[in-house]
Amino acid sequence: MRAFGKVGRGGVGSVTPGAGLLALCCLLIFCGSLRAEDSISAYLLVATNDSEPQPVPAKMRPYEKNLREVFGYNRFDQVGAGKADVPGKSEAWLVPSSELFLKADTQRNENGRGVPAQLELWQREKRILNTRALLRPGAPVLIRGPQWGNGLLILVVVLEP
Amino acid sequence: MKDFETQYVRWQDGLLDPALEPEFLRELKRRGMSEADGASWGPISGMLAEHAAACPLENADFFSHSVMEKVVALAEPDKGGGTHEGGWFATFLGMPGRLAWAGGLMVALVAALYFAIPEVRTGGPRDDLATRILSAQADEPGLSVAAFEANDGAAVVWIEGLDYLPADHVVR
Repeated sequence: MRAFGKVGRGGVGSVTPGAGLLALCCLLIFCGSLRAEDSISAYLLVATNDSEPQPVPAKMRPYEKNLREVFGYNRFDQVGAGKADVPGKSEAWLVPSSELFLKADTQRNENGRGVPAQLELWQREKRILNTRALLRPGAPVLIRGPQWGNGLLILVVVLEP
Repeated sequence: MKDFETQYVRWQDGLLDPALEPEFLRELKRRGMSEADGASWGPISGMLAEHAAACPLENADFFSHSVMEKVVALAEPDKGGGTHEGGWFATFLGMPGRLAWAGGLMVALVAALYFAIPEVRTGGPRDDLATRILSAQADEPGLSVAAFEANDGAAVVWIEGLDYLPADHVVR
């Protein structure tokens, strides 16, 4: 340890501001090239119209405008959520509820262009939807489910870093 | 050949050895040249020697010293081009301060833009950040599916024909 201290005094201590700046830039670029593994999440929402709308769940806030405009409701309550890593070992089951759940078969995110995914929506024991999608982080797939009571079930599938 | 030319110049200047002159004149005639050429050159040569002589330098040492200093100053950049100890990096650090800081600033600016503009990292326009539905099909009779794009890159899959679930139906 003492030897390191001596080296540091003669070598590192003499680094000029220009060299320090260059090293900082290299570090920033290196960190930018590292990617954290993504995960895919499914949130089951119940959409209703309420005379006194409640705030949307925190995770749904970025998509609130879309949810309101596309489905025409003003209140969204989360009734379940499921999450799986990307890419999965083979296929992942995201089960946010006993009524609607999702089977996701995802591949690796190549070059940051998006995650190719095969998504199957199941209602209990029946597969009702089979879709292929290219998922981008923060850009969800909003799936309109069945009417439930005076509201609507909506499945939000989103790729999260 | 070269001897003849040398002798010709010396003959024009009147410096040719008299012992060699008869042989030279014979060679001159053999080549079809005239003795008048040499005679006409004589006055010109004399005038050049009299009027076009180099001016004597009053401070020859100082002049020589100045010339040598100029030569050394011109030669120095060539000596320093990347051959310093430590290579190009040491050369970079040894650049004038203003130039080095300008270079550093440019690198910092590019790095900042790289992180600030998503399109630079993804290599495409903002539209490429949208989720895309490549295909969608219903697996149950009586169901229909439509897919379309929404704002902010979101995609919507719209399923029609699903059975209504009563409010007391447990979905959690």
